[in-house]
Amino acid sequence: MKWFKYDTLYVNGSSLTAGGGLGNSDIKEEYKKLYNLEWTDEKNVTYPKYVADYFGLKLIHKALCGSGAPRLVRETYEYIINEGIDKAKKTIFLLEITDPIHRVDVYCNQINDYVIANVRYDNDYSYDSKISSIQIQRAVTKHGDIYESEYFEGKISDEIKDYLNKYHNPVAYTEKYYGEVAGLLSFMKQLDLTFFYMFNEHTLKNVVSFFYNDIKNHEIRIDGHNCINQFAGINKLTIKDELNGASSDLHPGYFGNKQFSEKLIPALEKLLKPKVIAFGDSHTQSFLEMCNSKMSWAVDYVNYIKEIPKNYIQNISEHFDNLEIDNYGRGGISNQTIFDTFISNKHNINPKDILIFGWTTESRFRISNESNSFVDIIPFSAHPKQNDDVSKITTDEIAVNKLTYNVWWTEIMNYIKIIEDLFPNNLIYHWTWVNNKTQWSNRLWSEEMLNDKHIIVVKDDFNQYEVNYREIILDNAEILYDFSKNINDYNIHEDFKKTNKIIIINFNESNHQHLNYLTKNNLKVRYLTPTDYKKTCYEKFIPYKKYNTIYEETNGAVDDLHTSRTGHQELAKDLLMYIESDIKQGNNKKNVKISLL
Amino acid sequence: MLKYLYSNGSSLSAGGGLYELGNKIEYKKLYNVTWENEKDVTYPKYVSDYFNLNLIHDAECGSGAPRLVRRTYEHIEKIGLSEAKKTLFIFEITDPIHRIDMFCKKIDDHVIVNARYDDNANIENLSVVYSYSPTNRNYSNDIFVGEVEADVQQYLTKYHDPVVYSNKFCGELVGLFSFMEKMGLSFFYMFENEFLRNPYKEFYDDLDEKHKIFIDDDCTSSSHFCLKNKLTIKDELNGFTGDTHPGYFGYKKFSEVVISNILRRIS
Repeated sequence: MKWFKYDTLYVNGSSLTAGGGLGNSDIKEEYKKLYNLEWTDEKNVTYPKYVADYFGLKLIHKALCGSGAPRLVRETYEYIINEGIDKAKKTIFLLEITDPIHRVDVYCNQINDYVIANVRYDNDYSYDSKISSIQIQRAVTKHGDIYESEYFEGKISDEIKDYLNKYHNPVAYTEKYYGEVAGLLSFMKQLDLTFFYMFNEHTLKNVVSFFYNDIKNHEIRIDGHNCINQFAGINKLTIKDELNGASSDLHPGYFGNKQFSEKLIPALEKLLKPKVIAFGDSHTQSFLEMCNSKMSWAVDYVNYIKEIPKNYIQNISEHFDNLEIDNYGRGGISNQTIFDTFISNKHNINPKDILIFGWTTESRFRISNESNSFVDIIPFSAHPKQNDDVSKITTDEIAVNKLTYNVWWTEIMNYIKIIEDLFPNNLIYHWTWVNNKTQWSNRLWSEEMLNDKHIIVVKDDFNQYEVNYREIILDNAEILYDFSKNINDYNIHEDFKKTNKIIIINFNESNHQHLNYLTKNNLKVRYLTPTDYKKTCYEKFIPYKKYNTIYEETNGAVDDLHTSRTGHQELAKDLLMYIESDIKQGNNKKNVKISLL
Repeated sequence: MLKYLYSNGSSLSAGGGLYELGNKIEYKKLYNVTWENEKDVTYPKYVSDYFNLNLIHDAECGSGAPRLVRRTYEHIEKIGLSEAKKTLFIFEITDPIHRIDMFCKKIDDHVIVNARYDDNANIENLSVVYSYSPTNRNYSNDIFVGEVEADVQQYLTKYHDPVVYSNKFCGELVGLFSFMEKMGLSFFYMFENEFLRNPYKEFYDDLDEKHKIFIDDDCTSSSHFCLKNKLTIKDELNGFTGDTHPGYFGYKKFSEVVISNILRRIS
């Protein structure tokens, strides 16, 4: 699974996940007798192990018999803190959450670690209930020291029981975890970690149901069952069932765990597998759709090569074992429509999804037709005019303006900023087929500027400007002042008697006297900036490359400049290089660093 | 539209020291100011009055992050999400190390346990109270003297590590704030020191812009502010007491800082 960005499966939960019962020697003997099955560590025959093996993940199996929400919350925070956010982002968290009522998390100084105290009450739902029995579970400390349950019997369990009888209330203890579990899951959501939860009971969910309604897509339900014990119980896959009553243990059995994992794996795969969501114009829309809509160039090309080629989105999907595709590419649309399409469909985007934007030429734009709907204008083409009030000359003139001044590329930069702000955790890629060369207008003066005696001021360091642009500026100046040089004698009012084309360069380097000159003399000024907005915008794209066209591939037999089959393969290859590298790095865009002091 | 102000914190928010009768008499004598309930002269009261909000003043002397986390969740659960969205939450957060939140069956409620440790991390002294304030107390603290204190001390000695306990709340606090952020609740916080923030520094760096009460470069809490500006009870009473909790005028002045922080972020 090349799309898979995880390396670890972290699991926490109770005996239902820890293989409760499957570690008992009499039960193991019975499985050997009946099914010829053997295992040393019961965790190796639990559903988390099968999940980890399927996805090739390192398994951190922290589920323990007797454990409940308190230990789960504490240990999950500890894991995130100790491993750090980068590692946590490469981890899938699978949390099986049980009520805290009989599962008290107690620190024990004698072993310098926490122990699980399983308590039974004479009445679970009363503030006055007394503890009828207590068992401290076998503990493995963080240093690897093992303390069997018997170690705690007597003094320690008596002391804990005595304390809990006086200073612990099962109802109040449970109530504390309504918030604590929601808090942990909120935190994981905030960090955009990949987590899934199952609740064994609904006690902890009900009070804050408004929260769980909000994070439903993290809940695991298999065949409608909210937890493995329900699944095993209903499907007669408990230890008791599998051993034909030789044991009364109702924990999920060997086959219960296996079958549960077989259902869980595809469910997880579906939840984890990204979609490729693409926005763009005809270079992004599939060839099949183009042919279906009878685009002549597409039909001619398909007839020529005698197949419907895959476009770059399909190539990318295929590379990642056929990822689902949402392709919103549509021939002839403008960048405004591309962005609009994104806005209209953003609710379908999940953080795991890969977004690809193929931006089009800046010369396209929209007007309204007579039906009060937007239509995209493809200028300088044989298309009919789209609104009787707007002549072809007008749309062509607007297009010339858009092609002449690269400030129009700031529109795309702003779209990109919004997209990235809305989806900070997605893998997002931008590209365009539009040539990356910037054109500068040769004409800096308008009639109005000349009539009103404007001067052009180049504030910044003139050497920052592209050579072509510098030449254009020099060509447009009949009188040029370089304020970085020591000029003492000038009179712009006098100069205006000779010409109206006066340009000042390196204005920001001028001394105070020069700066005041313009204000004191009430001169009208137009400022130029050196920014090549197109170049800046292309820095947001994958590096520009001219991909093979249909014309080139067919040696001119099909006279069309759309990206060819080969071009789509090249483009897919380039995008895949970035996607795979980001998957490998875990796409840790938020980069929140945490560490325990 | 906000309707309520919920405040939680320690004595620095609860009017610690201002419930002492001697101090109250001295304030009357020096400034002719009086009050019945010390919470009425703390910054949460002034802030709620300024914004015309109903005040739920849940700060308690001796309380720390553990009680703050528990009580805040309880409050949200009790009033429900829609009322919580009409609530402005202000938190003043102190370390859990000396401030243990514990249930006590004798009163069927939680108590505040304040433990002090010696250099070897042994408990040097310990107090168990429902509330230090005589004004807001449902139970006499005398009922905890003796048996309860001895039980608690014995238990903490064997089944509690102050550092482990404190570390646990680093996570629980970011959980609370993440939950409130996810639910779109309005909240502000200030930390007495950096201990609970440090492990999640960048998480807080992100959150601070919206939620931190900025005081000045040297101060992160009402305590720092009053010490710096000589507005502690000790300062205001000209050394009549050694109590360095925020004073009557300290709270008044500090409330202006909180109000301007809120005004800047909530329109």
